[in-house]
Amino acid sequence: MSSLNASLATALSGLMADQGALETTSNNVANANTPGYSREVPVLVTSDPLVMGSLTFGTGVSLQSIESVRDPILESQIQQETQTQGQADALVSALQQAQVSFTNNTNDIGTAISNFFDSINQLSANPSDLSVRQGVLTAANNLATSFNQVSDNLTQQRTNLGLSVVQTVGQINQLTQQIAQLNGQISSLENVGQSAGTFIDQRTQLIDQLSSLVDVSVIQSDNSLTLTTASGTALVAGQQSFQLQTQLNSSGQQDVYAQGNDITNTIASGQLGGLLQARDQQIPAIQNQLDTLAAGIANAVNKVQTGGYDLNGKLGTNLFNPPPASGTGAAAGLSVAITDPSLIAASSDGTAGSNGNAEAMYALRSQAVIAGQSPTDYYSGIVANVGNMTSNAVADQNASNLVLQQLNDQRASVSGVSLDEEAANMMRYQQAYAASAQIISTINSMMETVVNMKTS
Amino acid sequence: MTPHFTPDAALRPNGRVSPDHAVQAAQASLVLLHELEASLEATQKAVLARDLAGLEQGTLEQIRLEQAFREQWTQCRTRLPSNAGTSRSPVLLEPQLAAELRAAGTRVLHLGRVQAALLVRAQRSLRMIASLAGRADLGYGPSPARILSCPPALPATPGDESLCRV
Repeated sequence: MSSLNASLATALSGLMADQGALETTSNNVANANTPGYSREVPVLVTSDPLVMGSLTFGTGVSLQSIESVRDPILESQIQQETQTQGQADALVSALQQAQVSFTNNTNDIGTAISNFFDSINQLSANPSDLSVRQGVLTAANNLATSFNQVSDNLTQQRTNLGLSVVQTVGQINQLTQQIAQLNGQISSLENVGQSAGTFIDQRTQLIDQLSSLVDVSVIQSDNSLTLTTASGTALVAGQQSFQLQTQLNSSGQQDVYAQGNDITNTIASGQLGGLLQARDQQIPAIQNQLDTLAAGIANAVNKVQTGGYDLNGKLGTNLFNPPPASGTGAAAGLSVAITDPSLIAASSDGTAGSNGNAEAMYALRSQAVIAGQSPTDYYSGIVANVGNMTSNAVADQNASNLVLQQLNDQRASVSGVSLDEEAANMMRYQQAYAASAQIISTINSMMETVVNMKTS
Repeated sequence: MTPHFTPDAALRPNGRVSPDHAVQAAQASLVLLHELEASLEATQKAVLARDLAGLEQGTLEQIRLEQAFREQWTQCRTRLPSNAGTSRSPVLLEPQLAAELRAAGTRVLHLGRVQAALLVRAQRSLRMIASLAGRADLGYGPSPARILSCPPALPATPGDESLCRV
């Protein structure tokens, strides 16, 4: 048969459990505004019953554990979207910077092309006028300078993106080290059956930060966590972190290495993915188009120029220094080959008054001399392409922001602290605590009765 | 072939007076663009809320508006001289109307891009949930086969759990 002492122990277990539950509520309320905090719930279980003959007596309650409320699928979605957002942020920033070089102004390439052909148009009206000829040379020099400047800006931008790659790799290494340390602390606590909720929250926050930098895949096993890039390069395995390194390649750009292997081309998202995409794909594509345009204009003009006669009646020489045969570097290296205005071959028959060749040169303005398009149309295509890439990146960024906002709201509804709910819990635990205390008080008076009965 | 009339071509100022029906068409298009904008915003919310009925309704509405928009310009083209609205013979609209039309077009284009990006994400998210639901032991990460195909992933140190053996 059960004793008063057993009843006292049962009531005491209730007191202890309610006290623990109240502590959990108190901690939740205290962390209601802590970023990344996941609310905790006390897990109360019935203590093992006591069997005495045909009777089974309950022995109270115990606070088995305190668990943090999390949705792992939601966490994965947030991490993945954070990667995409990091990539979009880096791309938008890089492309908007590149777009500045193509903004309409007095020195932009489009204006320089127009001014160059306008000057040739003037030349065809006054083929022997030296000041007009000088105007053509000035316009040609301005055109070359515009190409040089835009190309230099893009090259400089690529260099800056390379520096950002180094910086981002440093941040990744710092985070993976911290995550590995937390893995150790979490394992230690979980191995002895204690709750590691706070450390898991910290780790989740660090993984979110890491996700914004690089494409991370999270592999959760029973008591450990492994992080890899999407292509499988290990970043963290349990308590061990694997550092990424950067190394200059033959073209002067920083490549990313993991344990001696070049993984630059495998990094698809996160800020690092965006930086690499802008540096190695988007900006080089713009540079290639610029090179095609510069080489196309230079070659077409030179062809006409060398087919005519200058003011001295001699066959024309190149107006622009010939670009490389491959076209690579044509925009950066475009320069005017002549300084004497009389060497411009405006004449088609060798006479000073002839403007046949100047007209042929002017006709290039509307001829499909560059990849089936006129110079102006081809340049418009480049501007449209840059604008399009930027708009797509901005739309992607907006979509990421919308999705992340929604996912974070969902996470808040699952893991966030509801003060109303906590207030209700607090009253519940308080009442249960008071009831247990009342039982103890009653047992106390029953014991007194028993003691007095013996002494009387 | 369907006559092609780009709003941008219509907006190039060259001093010509726009025919009344071009102005009417521009105003009607502006109304359609506003409707399209509202519809795209509503669909955006539907995608985020995984509201399939709302998404379907919005998409049907956008198809209808797109057709109406096309018909609007086709009718306008038949009333204008054959070369009107091209770069050689643009139609001049009131600057305010032109600016509104351009701004509405830009907003619709942006919303369309965002919508496309959201749909890609929704698809990815559904794929992820489907694969998680399909296999209880499947974590969200590279497949074991993929990990095994990358030997340099982890240095194998004695006693350590190698990722390639997971």
